[in-house]
Amino acid sequence: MKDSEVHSLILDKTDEIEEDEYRSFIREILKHERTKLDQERPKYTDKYHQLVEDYANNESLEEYTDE
Amino acid sequence: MNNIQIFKIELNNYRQFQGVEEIPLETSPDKHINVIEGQNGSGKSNILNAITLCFYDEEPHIDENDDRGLGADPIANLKELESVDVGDSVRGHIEITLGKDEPQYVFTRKFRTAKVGEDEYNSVTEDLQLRQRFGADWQNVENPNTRLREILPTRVHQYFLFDGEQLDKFFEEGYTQRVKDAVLDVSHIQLLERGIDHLNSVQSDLEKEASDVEGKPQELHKEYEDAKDELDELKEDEKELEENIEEANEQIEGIDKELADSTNPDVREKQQRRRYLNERLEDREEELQNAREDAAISLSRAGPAAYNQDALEYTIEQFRDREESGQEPPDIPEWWLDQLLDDGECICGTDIDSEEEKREHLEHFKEKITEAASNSVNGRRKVQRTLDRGDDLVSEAKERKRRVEDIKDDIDEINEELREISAELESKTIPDDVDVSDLEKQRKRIDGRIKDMREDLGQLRGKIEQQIEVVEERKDDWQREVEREKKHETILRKISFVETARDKVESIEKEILEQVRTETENSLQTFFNDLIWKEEPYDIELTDDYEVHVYGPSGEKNLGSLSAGERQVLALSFMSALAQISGFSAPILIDTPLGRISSKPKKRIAQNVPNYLEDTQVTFLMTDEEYTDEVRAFLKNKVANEYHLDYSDEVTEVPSA
Repeated sequence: MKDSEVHSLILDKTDEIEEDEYRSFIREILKHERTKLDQERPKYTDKYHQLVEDYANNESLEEYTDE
Repeated sequence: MNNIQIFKIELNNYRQFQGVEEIPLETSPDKHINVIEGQNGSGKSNILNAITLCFYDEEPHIDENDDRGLGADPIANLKELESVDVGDSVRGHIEITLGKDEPQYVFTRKFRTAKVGEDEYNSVTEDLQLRQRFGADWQNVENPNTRLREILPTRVHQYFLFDGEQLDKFFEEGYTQRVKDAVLDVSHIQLLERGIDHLNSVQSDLEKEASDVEGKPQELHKEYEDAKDELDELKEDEKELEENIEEANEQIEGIDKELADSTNPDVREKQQRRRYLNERLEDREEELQNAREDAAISLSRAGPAAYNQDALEYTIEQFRDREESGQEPPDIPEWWLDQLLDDGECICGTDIDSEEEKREHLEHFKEKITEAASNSVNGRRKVQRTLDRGDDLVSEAKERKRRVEDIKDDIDEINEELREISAELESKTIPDDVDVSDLEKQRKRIDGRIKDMREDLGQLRGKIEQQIEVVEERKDDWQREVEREKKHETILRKISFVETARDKVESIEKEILEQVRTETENSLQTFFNDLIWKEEPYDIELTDDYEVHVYGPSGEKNLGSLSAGERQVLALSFMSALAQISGFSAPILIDTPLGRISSKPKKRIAQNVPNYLEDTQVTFLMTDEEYTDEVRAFLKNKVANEYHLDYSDEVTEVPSA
């Protein structure tokens, strides 16, 4: 996620979250919402459920790379 | 410059600008201000429109002094359009070069205006294009809008590219909503709010899913355990009964031994005979069991044919009748149809070689005839075979049933003889010997008890079989419920995760709103005091409800009581604060910045402008009334480029001033 795509204040606050899974999960959500910002009613259900599946089960943390 | 600046604007046949007009705007940290001056209607606002049209494909800055209104004009230059015929077009473009210390991006949007009638035009714009410099090379970039969004997104461009004259209205009634919207715009709060909304929806989905799979494994596990306990009790009873039977058998063996040792030869002989009969009885009972199983198998095999015998015989009869009447099998031979097809002529004289449909019909008919003949022959054979085989099977079943009856008769005879032996022994009284009669009575009683116990054991084993099935069923139910419960627990964990994540996002939103509000308040106050002409500094407060309070040396000043100039400076400061807080390092372009300000404060604002937004390229589009000699003198040391729009005969040129 490029800094200029989400306000630096939000990124800074997100980075302050100590738990890896929540920090990564919220960054993924912001990244998704950023790509859909121009849409009035963006689709989100599948993406969110997949992210919850990945992070609530703590499975994909190792795969997560901060872009 | 640390921030992005506009190096050059190139206008080609855009509105008042005929042919190609280049406006170089490069600034430096020492001289960060540009001034483009021109009379009303000369195209100042259209320079702002040119930028927004190039970047965002929109022209929102309408020149109120243009009587015809912007919408009435074509995008392409009117002079050029006058020179072409109806049906022809004029093409043009807007090109903006951006960069920090040197040109790095060239954004271009082309347009075309078609002359569809006299004074009637139709304009279309093309997609945004971008060339970017990589080292010494310039290359086309595939997604120019993405790159533009990183430099200055649509959402916040109004705080960088704006009309000063419109600012006067910003702090009129209902301004708190405008201030709030602006603060939310620049802080990306919408991202967080959407995230929160969507997390709430996901949580609702998960809660519904959880209620659908909520299990009761403990309850079912207890039922399973109860069934196992009951099975264990039945097995205990079985074991006890088996032990009692074994004990009773041992008692009988003891009595038999005493009888076998009798001094009386008749008693010994009867006892020996009884031993033989009991062994034979055991064998015969085993044979009876096997014979019954064989008979059951035979009966199940013979059943279908036996039960359907009437129907099968009726079917055979039907076949016979149809054969006799010539209906079955079909009497049209296949070889004859083949011959018709080979000859290419039907029996009715139709030429089936030339009439494809007739040939297909005949071929289809041949297939049906072949199939019907085959079904007729095979069907009859199968029905007859089933009937014949059914007779054999019924005979076999009857034979096996007879064998069962024979064995049963044999067993009855053995039992009868055993009863006779027992009765005879019971009636014997032999002096100086074992008490045969008493022993036999005991034996008879014990034997009766064994028979009862065996019957009980049989019933008990039946119950055990049933209970084993109950245990298996309850175990399956319990395990299914455990799986549901595991799924339920997983969903509960997800719900908890979503709730916590949402709380964290809400917390971030709250903190950011407060931080942005505080920073906006501070920047607003700084810019206002930089620009305003008052000696004493003002305090400005931005409340939680987005109300703006201005405090001068003599206390709070109602916004309504501010002069037009003060209100414009407040709005200008607010826009600048938002631009700074937005986090985007874009250049600022203000049309008519001092339009509503009377001459004395105008001079003072101009005096302060050089300190305004020092690290940002600021381009003012001013009227000749705004850009007075005094204003020019105050800005002189900070102005990098100055242009005068030369407007005559509906065409504007941009020579350096």
